Amino acid sequence: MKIDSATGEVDSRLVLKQNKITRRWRLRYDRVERREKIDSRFDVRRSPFKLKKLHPRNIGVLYLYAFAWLLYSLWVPDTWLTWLTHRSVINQQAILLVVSIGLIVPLVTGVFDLSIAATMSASAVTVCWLLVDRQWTVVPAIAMALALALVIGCLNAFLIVKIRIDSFIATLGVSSVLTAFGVWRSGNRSILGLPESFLDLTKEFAFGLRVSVVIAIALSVFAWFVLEHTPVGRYFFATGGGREAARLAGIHTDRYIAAAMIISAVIAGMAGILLASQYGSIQAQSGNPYLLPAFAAVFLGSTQFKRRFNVVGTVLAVVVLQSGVKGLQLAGVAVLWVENLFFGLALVVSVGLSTYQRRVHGGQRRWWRREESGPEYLLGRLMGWGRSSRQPDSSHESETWWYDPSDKQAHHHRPSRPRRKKLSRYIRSRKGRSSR
Amino acid sequence: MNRTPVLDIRHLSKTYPGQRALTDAQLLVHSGEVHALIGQNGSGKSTLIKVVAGYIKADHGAKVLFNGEPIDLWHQGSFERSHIRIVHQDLGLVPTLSAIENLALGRGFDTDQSGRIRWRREAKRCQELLLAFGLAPDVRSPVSTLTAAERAAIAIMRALQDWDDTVPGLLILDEPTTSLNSDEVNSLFHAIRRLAEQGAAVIFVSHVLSEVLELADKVTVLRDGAVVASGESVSRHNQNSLIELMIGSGIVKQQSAAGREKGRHALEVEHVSGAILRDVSFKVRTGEVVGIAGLVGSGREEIGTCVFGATPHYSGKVLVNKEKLFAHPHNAVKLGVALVPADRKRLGLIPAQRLEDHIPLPQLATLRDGLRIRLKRLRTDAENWARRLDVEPLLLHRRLEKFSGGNQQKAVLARWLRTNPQVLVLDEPTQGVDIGAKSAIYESIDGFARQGGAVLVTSPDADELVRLCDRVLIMRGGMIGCELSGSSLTTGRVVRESLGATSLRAGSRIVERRIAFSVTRARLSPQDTKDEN
Repeated sequence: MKIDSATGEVDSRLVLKQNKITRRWRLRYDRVERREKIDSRFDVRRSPFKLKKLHPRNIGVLYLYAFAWLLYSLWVPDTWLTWLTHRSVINQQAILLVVSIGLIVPLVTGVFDLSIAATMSASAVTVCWLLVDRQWTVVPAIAMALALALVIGCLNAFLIVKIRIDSFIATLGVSSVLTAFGVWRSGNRSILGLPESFLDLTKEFAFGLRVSVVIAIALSVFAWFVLEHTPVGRYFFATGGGREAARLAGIHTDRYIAAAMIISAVIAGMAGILLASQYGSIQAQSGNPYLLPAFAAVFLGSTQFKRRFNVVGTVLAVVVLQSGVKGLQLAGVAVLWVENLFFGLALVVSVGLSTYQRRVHGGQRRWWRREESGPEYLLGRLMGWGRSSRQPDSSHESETWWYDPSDKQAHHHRPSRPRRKKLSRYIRSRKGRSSR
Repeated sequence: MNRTPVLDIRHLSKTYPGQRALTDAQLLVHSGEVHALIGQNGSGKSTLIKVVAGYIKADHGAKVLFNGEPIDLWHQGSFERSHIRIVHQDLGLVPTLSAIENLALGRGFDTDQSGRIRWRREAKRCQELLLAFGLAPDVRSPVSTLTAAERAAIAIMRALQDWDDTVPGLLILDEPTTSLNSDEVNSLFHAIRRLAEQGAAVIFVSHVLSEVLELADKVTVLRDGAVVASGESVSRHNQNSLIELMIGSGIVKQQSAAGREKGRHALEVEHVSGAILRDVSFKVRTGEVVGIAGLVGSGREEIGTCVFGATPHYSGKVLVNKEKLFAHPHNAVKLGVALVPADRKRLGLIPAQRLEDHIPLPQLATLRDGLRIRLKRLRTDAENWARRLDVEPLLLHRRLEKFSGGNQQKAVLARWLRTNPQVLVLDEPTQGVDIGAKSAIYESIDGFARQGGAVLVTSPDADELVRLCDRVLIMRGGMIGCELSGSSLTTGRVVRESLGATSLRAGSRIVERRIAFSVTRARLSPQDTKDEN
């Protein structure tokens, strides 16, 4: 074995080879071929997806969406293939999308905000209580609800940054406090009778779509721009990637964490107002069912396009998850519990997928984690797509022979052209001698 | 005398990607002897121990015999049976568990028939074991509340608790005295000697030569992964001869520091005290490279982060170009200070980040156009800097965790040189870096100084400091012990001074320093000492 002194890697190793001409077997140093490793996520040697961008591990959610469409159009064609259905799906999506966008920001920064749904409920209850019980007008009521959300965000930020409580625990505690606040303010009953002017905020404007859809899309575009294209977004990502490393790069990590908590709370407040306006009646815990779907959407989104949280993936995930649930409900599959089941599974599977993908290269290589792995690779192997692995590899031919100046003996046996000439000359000379 | 040695290591080599840690090392340890293993930082002591312990695998061809029988070097499990006990430098205790629980971790608890732990019997056992050291700590309180000596004793006793006297065993102590004061060291030595008298073999790794001379019978010296003195009798040596063996005669030349033009003071540190530092003052001129040497715990590690404002200082001030630095990295970057931290994986970079995102991170404002970042400009900028420092392979989309250590360090350096700093602070810049990248890093440091930058380098490697620096400050016990420059700046002097071995009565001086050191730490930051305990 020869070891490269600069890199310490194995440079060449001894191999038994046959000289093609003399037919002699001898040991020689064979240079070790270093084949470039292929990212197993995009190993296309066996896969029908030759483009990385179309690979299921890049945009798998879209394939899932296409599959859902196909399935539901065959299963429940008369309800699935109507605009009415999709209109209601889109209108429902709008609120979930707003919450998910709010949730991305702290997750990108490396902190959890479990109080996001409770903040949503609290702001919804506040705005309804002010409008119905206190007879406030719309604008101050909304301002008050947003102010409440801001205060909640500041409280979260204070607990996490100043007191240094783990974000998970701090927001869990705060969310319970907020639930108590909601029950207290609403008297644990539905608040009905919201004024028309408030309900008109999210009225249908075209094709039966509500204004909240526009708000959600605008917010997503804004969040996408800030997170992907401004220095502030990079600082959020850097803080989430390694808090101490980011701090040593001169970033005020504490400020960015605080900002993330405040942003998520304010966006949750907005979502709460939209919820109240869209549904017309609010209970103490109306927002709470949005917590799990939001997490599921953000984590499923993080498995798409990039291996990190991103807005576009999240938007796609929201669309797919909401449509999937709607279709199942239309098909009459266990209407009561299918939503919880679906979102729970989506969350676990997407988080499992993302950690698994990260581990493929980090951990030891086992047979199921080799480069040649993954469902589409195995399928390709079954179907005989792509390159055959049994192709003879020219680099492993054992009968190669080459000149090695350091090997004196090999040189001796090298049947070189001048030598052959010499031999013939020698024979000729012998002949001449014999003739004489 | 013809008896089988307890441990017999032959032809032990270890190659890491990028460098050779051990070359054909050999070691013979007989029963009843205390064998000291010494060498500079990075000379391969810990690698040797780790190979014996089975944590890392040696290169092929190595042979290790334990009591005459070959050890399976490629599997860890066999060591449970073979009477080799190791106490690591960080002791490996669980700080939240009590002494009883820590002792029982490897062996299991003593339980009655219902499965209840016999706490009283365990406590008694534990106290008896610790009494051998003359210590009587509270065995039921968490280990983190005990003193350093008590913790060291618990770790050693954990290693020795089911020691089998019938077979000569081997105890390996990796720098056990770093956190102990003189009394504690004495009681530890007493216990070690008693163990050796009972027939055990002890390998004792230490940086403090006076301790080696006091305790050990034989000494093995490692230099750059090779054994330069194997099992020589300690009585034939004194401190100076050991130091000579450790550093060798290979003269490292200064890398033409003469060409650099020194200007005004760019960095002034005045009477700074921190967690370990006390009253440290020095100045660095533009075009000057100043090195900081010292043992672990001497305050060398703290200076870099302190100058950068990443760790707070309790008194004194840091001036950059006559402007006071308020302790936050953000302010440091604004004033033109850059820090390449020692813990590269955790502090120097974000492993999941791509190269193109990593390099411009501290100064994204220059790439901004209105609100948004110009991605093209970002990419060309990152590529320029990566090319300037020769990051291999030049793949901007590659995540940093996939680059080799040397290239990661080049990327970190590129990031900071891009901010156009006035003062460049480097903590152990070539730690875990291969030879090729090392020289590239040296070159860029030198080039930076030539262009009128001020450089502060801390390093455990004396050769590196001599090669790079105009002058070197030696840290001892949180203070600057002395300054070496010009002709007095040699590897030998740096090592000697950081060991504190200038006078003949060095041993006593070291002990004095230790006591003074622990007192100051307690006074300055009671919180910190508690955390560490």
